[in-house]
Amino acid sequence: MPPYTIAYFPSRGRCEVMRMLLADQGQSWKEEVVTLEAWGQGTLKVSCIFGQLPKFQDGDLTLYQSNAILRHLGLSFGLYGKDQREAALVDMVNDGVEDLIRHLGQQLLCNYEEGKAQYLKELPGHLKPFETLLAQNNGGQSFIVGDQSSFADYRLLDLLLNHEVLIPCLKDFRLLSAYMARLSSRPKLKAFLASPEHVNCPISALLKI
Amino acid sequence: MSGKPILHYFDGRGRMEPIRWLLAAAGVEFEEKFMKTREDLQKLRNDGDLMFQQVPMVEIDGMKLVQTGAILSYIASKYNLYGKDMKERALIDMYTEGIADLNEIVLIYPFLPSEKKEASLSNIKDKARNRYFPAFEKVLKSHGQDYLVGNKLSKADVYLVVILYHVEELDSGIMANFPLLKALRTRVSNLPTVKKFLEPGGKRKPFEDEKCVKIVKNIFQLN
Repeated sequence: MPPYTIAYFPSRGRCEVMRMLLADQGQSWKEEVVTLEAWGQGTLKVSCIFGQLPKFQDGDLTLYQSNAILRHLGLSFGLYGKDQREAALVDMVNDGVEDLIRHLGQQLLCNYEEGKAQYLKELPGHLKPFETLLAQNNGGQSFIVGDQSSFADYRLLDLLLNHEVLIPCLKDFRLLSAYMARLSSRPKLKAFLASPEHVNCPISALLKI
Repeated sequence: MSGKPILHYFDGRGRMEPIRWLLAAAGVEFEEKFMKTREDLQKLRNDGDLMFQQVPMVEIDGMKLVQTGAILSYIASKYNLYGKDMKERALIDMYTEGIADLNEIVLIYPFLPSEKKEASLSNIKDKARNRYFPAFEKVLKSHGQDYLVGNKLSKADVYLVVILYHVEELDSGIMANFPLLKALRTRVSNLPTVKKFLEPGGKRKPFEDEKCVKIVKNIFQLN
């Protein structure tokens, strides 16, 4: 009986990162799918601390806020850098990706086609810091921070994978392309990414993509 | 290596205010370098000091940290304001994320064009009164302790108190409905390190006035 449960909408959204992390760490977890109709009914929403999903259970610990959940898993599996300084860098990278996701979400929600075009124009500038980080870390042969994997790697990978689907953009980013290919081929992660539960899961229930 | 942290931002609350409060609560003296013009921001960018070309940026322990949350977490870790174990830390992080979500709409308010202010104020009041303040009042009620987590001051308490003050400036009657939050705010404000920060001459920043808004819009080329 796995200690982990994810309650979320039927989409990748804010949960695919934690799924990739758990899969790659050889963990199993339970999924509680919450349809938009069920959510609209209200009982579950009222029980969530800020009225939002995901809801995550680790044994008797119930957590909300995807970034708090991710950090908890990071600590649980030694995926938070080797010391406080690396931890700060891991946090910076994760939050940098978060900013980008919010920005993309806002652009696409306002006006999908126009938003997408505008976002595509700005994207090289947004991806550059991550390419630079790779370049400064063992010539991009390693992870985004240091020489061990961190939750920031899963976060960045999720971003890159989604972009490949929505807005292919990595041809000018040699190191990010190689990084994405290398991480995606880690055996357990590769199996998860090929599985129906990932492949058949839409990126966003809201945007229907 | 052990100099005072240096905060790079404009002379206003914005995204830096929770960081100022947390350093103050930890009893850490800091310096501030205020950006006044667009050129000041460009210089930081050109010097490669800003990982995502954005501020806040804090020079601390030989690092140039960006991203508000990352900075708060580093300070919390360093000065023991992050709970005693993983479980407490997870709760502190969860509460901090919620507070930060509310702060997103609060901190931007002074910089909105006047025609957007009314709707935004409505949204702030609604979210504060119906989502966030009740959530934290409930947490305090559930254990009856002095602080949100583990009966000890953490970054979540400090950040929450910042928001309690800032929202009250926009919704003057709000605290009447949340007695435990009010008590937490008083308790934290009376801690000697925080009290000093809040006194006249302390580094707490006032609500952004027209002059400040003008400078900021110029620096970031906003509407």
